[in-house]
Amino acid sequence: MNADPTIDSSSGTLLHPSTHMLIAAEIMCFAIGLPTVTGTALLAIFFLTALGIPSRTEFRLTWKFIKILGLGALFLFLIHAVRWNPPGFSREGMLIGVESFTRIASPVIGVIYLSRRVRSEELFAMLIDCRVPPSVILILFRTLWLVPRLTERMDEVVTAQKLRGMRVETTMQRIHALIPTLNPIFSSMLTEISMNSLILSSRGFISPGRKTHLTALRYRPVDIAVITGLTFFLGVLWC
Amino acid sequence: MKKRVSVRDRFETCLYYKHLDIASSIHHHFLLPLPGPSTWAAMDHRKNNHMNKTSAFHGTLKREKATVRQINAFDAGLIALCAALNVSIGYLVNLLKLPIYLDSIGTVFVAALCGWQYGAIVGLSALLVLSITAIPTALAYGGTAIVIALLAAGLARFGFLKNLRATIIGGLIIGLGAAAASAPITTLVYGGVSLAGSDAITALFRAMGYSLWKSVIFGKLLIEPLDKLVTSLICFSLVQSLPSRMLERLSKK
Repeated sequence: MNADPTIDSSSGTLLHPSTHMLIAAEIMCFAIGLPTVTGTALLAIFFLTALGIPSRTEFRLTWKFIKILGLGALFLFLIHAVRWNPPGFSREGMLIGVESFTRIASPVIGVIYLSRRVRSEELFAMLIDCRVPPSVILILFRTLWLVPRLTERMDEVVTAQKLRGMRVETTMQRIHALIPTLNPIFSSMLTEISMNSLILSSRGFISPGRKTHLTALRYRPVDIAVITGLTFFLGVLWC
Repeated sequence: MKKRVSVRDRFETCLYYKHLDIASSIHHHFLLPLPGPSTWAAMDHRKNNHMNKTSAFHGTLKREKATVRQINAFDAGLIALCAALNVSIGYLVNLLKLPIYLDSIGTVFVAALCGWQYGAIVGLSALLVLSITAIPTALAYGGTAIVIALLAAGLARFGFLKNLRATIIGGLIIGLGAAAASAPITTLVYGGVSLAGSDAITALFRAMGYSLWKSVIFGKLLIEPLDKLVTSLICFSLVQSLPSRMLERLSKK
């Protein structure tokens, strides 16, 4: 029996990952390029739509990014809208603040949308299909893989240091505590990376030739229809 | 007439290149002596033999190899590790409740040891990952990462990360460079907000009556030199703690 090992990722989505990226990029560009009120309204609609469509991924970044947006809005309000001497609010400052908020919110909402629609294996497959060099894919995905591992190790080492009686009362003591925490983590990870790279070299990951992946991605007529329709709609809005 | 490439030829060619990769990796990783001239001659003879047999196929391989060879698996791993360090250090900073970011340790370390190109790749990769996972506005600061890499690599010629005095001075210079590179982005693109610790200081200067540009620049000048000084001291300590064999290997890049 010679079954096809590739997994069709189309279940639960109609669109190709690159179409999702194009949608996010188009809306981000138009939100920044359109007049402030229209751009902000477009972005708000996109944000609500992104939240309204059920998430296909295991990423839980939405709440974190909403908090970032809240923090950005607060500081923009304090920097632009509040007048301290004499105390009061500035209408012009408020408008500048809203314009700056649109610029900050555009990438944040774009990433929220993509994190809810594109799975990591689809991103990997798309990069392979786009002939991105394997070394670039390796750097990107290994960084994503290493971040939680490093965080976990840092947690372990800091807990161990605290149990040993590490003093962290003042800022200087905390900075002093940082150095003996980082050194063993970095050295051990460097050794691990060294061995891992040997394994990857022996498996020929960096060697020439087209790489394969297990997720089948297909362009459908609906991809072209969505992109054309969206571009037309945004063009009309622009005019 | 086009020659047909047999499966055996393809397999042997792949095996040959795979052997080369493994041999170079073993040499790189364990610093074994290089193969003698006879070994290389034998390999070359075998390569020429294959080239004559299947020139089209080999030509493609050779052309691809020239581009892919530029970064090997260890380099890619090192870049990923340093980028991950840049990203995940935020967790440690939060854990120890420090008032600085320390988000360019990997960039400074790699740029000083391996060259500015490596530092720039580390900085840009870290910003890309950071913008996917934590702060989506971070990618706009790619220019700052390149400036930090350039300064760290340039200062390494004057003893940066080799002696303490040069490291302290270098850290302050990198901080000033980073402040100069990031202030225009924060002011012009994001209206004075960088979604980092210096926003509170910017708001404070703004409340004192300074213009937006001055508030952002003063805020950056207060935070960045201190941040990059601590970053440089941590990198100095990392360099001191690394085994000399690993350090030598990194410095050869």
